[in-house]
Parts: sequence; C-alpha cells; structure tokens
Amino acid sequence: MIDAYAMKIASLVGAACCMGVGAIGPAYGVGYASSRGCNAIARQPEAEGQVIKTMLIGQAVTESPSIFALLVAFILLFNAPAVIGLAPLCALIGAGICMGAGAFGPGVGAGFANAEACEGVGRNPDSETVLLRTMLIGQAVSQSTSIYALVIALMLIYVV
Amino acid sequence: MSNKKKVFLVIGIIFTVEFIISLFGEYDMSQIAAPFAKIHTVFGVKIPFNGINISTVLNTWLIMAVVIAGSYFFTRRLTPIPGRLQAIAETYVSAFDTLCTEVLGKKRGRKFLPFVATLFIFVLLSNWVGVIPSFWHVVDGVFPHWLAIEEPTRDLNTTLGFGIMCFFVAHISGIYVRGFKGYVAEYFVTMPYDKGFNGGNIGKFIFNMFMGLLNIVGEIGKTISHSFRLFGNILGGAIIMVVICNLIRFIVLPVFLNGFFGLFVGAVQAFVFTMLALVYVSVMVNE
Amino acid sequence: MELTGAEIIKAAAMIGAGICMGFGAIGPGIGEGFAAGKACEGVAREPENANLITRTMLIGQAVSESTGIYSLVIALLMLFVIK
Repeated sequence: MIDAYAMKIASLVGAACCMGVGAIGPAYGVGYASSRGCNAIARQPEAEGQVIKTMLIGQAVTESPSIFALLVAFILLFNAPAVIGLAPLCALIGAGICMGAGAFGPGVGAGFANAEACEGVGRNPDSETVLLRTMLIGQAVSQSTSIYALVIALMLIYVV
Repeated sequence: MSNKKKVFLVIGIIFTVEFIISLFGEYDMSQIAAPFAKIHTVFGVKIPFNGINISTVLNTWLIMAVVIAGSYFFTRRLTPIPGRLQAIAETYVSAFDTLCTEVLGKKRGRKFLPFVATLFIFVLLSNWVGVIPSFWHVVDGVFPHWLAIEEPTRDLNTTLGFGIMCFFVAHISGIYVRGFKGYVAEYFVTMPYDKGFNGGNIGKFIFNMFMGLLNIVGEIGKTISHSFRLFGNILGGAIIMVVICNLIRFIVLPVFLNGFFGLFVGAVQAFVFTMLALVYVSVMVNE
Repeated sequence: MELTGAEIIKAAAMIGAGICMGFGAIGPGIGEGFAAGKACEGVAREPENANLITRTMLIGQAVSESTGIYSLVIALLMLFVIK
C-alpha cells in the first residue's frame, strides 16, 4: 500500500503546502511596509533616502520566513530521507503544513513593524538609527515562532 | 591604470573564469541540502559525536586567520593623525562603542565592547565568505568537496555554538550583577510573597513554580531562535544560489543574487545577531 | 503491508505536530509584530525614551510569545513522547 511513489507524492504535497501557504504572509508584510513607506515619502519627500534604506533592511528581515519555507520545500523535493512507512509519510506532509502555516504570522507581524518604522523615519528622520535598532529587535523577536516551526519541520523530516 | 579600473578588471576576470568553468560542471541537485563532508577518524582514532565537519572547521580557521591578521595590520602603526587602515579600524570601533554605551551605559558598555565587536566581525565575515567564487568545487573529482569555500554559518554547529556562548555570557553577567539570589528570584518569583505562612502564599508558590518552568523554557527558546535564525537565513540563501546557478548556468543573474543573499542579507543577519546578543545581555544586566 | 493501530497513532501524531506548531505560530507572530510596530511608532515620537520603550516591547513580546512556546512544547511532546 505505501511504497516509494506514495512517499514521493507526500513530499510533493508537503512542498506545495509549504511554499504556497508560506508565501502569503511575508508577501503581505513586505507589500504593507512598502505602501506605508510610499506614504511617508509622499508626506516628506526630502527624507526619501532614509525611508527607502529602512524599508529595504526591514523587508530583507521580513521575508526570511518565506526563505525558511523555501528551504523546507527544497529539502522535501530533493533531499527527503528514503524511509518508507505511514509515519514518515505523514511526517513529510506535516513538515510542509508546519513550515507553511508557521511562515504566515511572523511575515505579517514583521511587516507591521517595518511599516511603522518607515512611517516613523518619514516623520522624524533624525532618529533613524534608533528606529532601525528598535525595528530590527522587534522583528527578530516576532520571527522566533517561525524559527520554532522550522525546527519542528526539520525534526519531522530528519529526526523522527 | 586607475584603481577603479583595476577593481573592475579583477571582478571581470573572476566572473569570466567562473562562467567558463561552470560550462563544464554540473551540480547534483539532490546534494543541495546534503549533510556536510565529514571525517570520522583521525589517525585511526574514532571521533565521538558522529565525526566533525571538516569543511566548516577549515573555513572557520580561514576566517579566524583573516580576523587576526586584519586586527594586526589595521592597528600596526597607530598615529594621532590616522592613516587609511587606522581610520577604518577607528570607525568600526567607535561605531560599536556608541552602540554599546547607548544600550548598556558608559561603564558596562566598554566592558562588553570587545565581545560584541568581535562577534559582529566574525559573523559578518562568515556570512560574506560564500561570495568568493570557489569554482573548483564545481569540477568533479579534481579537488575534494570539503575544500570548497562556503559559509561556516550554514552549519548549525557554528551558529548553535555562538548562541550558547551568548547565553552563558548573558547569564553569567546577570549572576555577577544581581547576585545568585536575585538571579533566581528573577525567574521563580513572578508574584512577590507576603510575610508569614498562609494559604495565599501556597497558591503563589504553585503559580510561581509554574511560571518559573515557563520562564526556563522561554530562555531555552530564546537561544534556539537566536541561532536558528542565522542558520536558516544563510543556508536558505546558499541553496537558492545553487539552484538558480544550476538553472541558468551562471549567466548575469547570480552576480545580483550574490549581492542580495550574500552581502546584504549576510550583513543584516550579522547585525541582528549581534544586536540580539547585546539586548540579551542588557536584559540580564540592567535593573 | 498491514497497518497496526500503533503505527496509525504515530502517523497521526506526526501530522498533529505539524499542524500544532504551524498554526500555533500564526498568532504570536502577528501579535509580536503589532507590539514591535507600536514600539517603533513610540520611538519615532519620543526618541529619547528609546531604551525604556524597547524594554517594554521585549517584555510584552515575551509574554505574547508564551503561546508559541506552548505550541512548541506540545509539538515536541507529540514527536517524542507518543509511541
């Protein structure tokens, strides 16, 4: 009943769930941040350079949950262990769901932080470094749950 | 020839050579997330804990050598009017001096400055070393795989080592500042006790023990997220690079991708890692 | 190939761990992001109180992350304790 083909199908389904769902949140976050960045530039065009710098750095951090999802999807596609059984099959699908859904929330949250920081730099360009620091710390902490999801997904694939 | 032209010439030669060599090589797609090249025995003696990743060790030594040689050459002739190298070193140190003193205060900031600045330069160079084209890696059979230049931070052992080091630095300085009793009370006395022995205190004791367990799990989770963030970002970037290089055979796009995933994301993640280490220390140390 | 009950339970625990950690990560991620965003707003308004605001933000995030840690603990229990 469960053979190598079933395992391959499971890893394909897992990879699809992972990247498909995992792209939603970070994409929304990045887009929201850039919309608020545009707002800030429209209100204060002379702070354009600082706003764009803050926005780009924040977006690089915001999209790291989707990079984790990509990592798990590639591992599922090309490097899934060749163990056959019902439990490993479910583990592959579970890993996909875990990382996919786990990338959703932190992506949105980090995008919120980035957006507010862009707005703040637009309002108060002098405090750019302080804002950048606060934003990076806040984003890093809000991403930790996506990292827990990465850990659980890797454990599902390799350890169990 | 001006300096600018020389730089462009060198970059052009590197990319041309990499392109030509890549025409003859083929990446094995199934190897992109493969385990590292490991050695299990040294002179017939078995290494415990399932071998060591020789590639990671060699690359870490390379970066250590670069950092040591750099700090020697950058500070060799210190003069009141700084030369070019000294100016770079001074800018670096003063930037981190400002950061540390802002977060930790004047006196303690200076104490933690060497730790933080060294951590940053080490993680930064570790993230950036993958940009160097190690094209001999592509040609099969000529050189062993472990001779490739790749980021030590794409190995979980390196980042987890850094994370555990930051954990111990933060907690030991917390014990040093607050004393052992205050340090334990931080975790196990969420709700302060009343005087005397009564029913309310027993309820508070149970609540405090429960919260204490959660606090401990939270501390472990902090260390895990601290190190897995760096690991996941760098490994993810490296895998994206390899896959895209395989698909389009090194034509134009990998240069920009290296710029983004190698230099930009590497610098941002190194800064985030260092900032978080500093903040964890400051949470433990500041009253 | 015969499927035993224990094997089916193990398989269900695998999917359960994935769903648990995956959906458990959504809420804390969004909530902590809100906290970080509002902290950025506060810092932009009063940059001289940045350290105080950052510390408050970290404490709030640590509390709102506790549900994420519950999910992590439950997922680990499902992975390693259920036989």
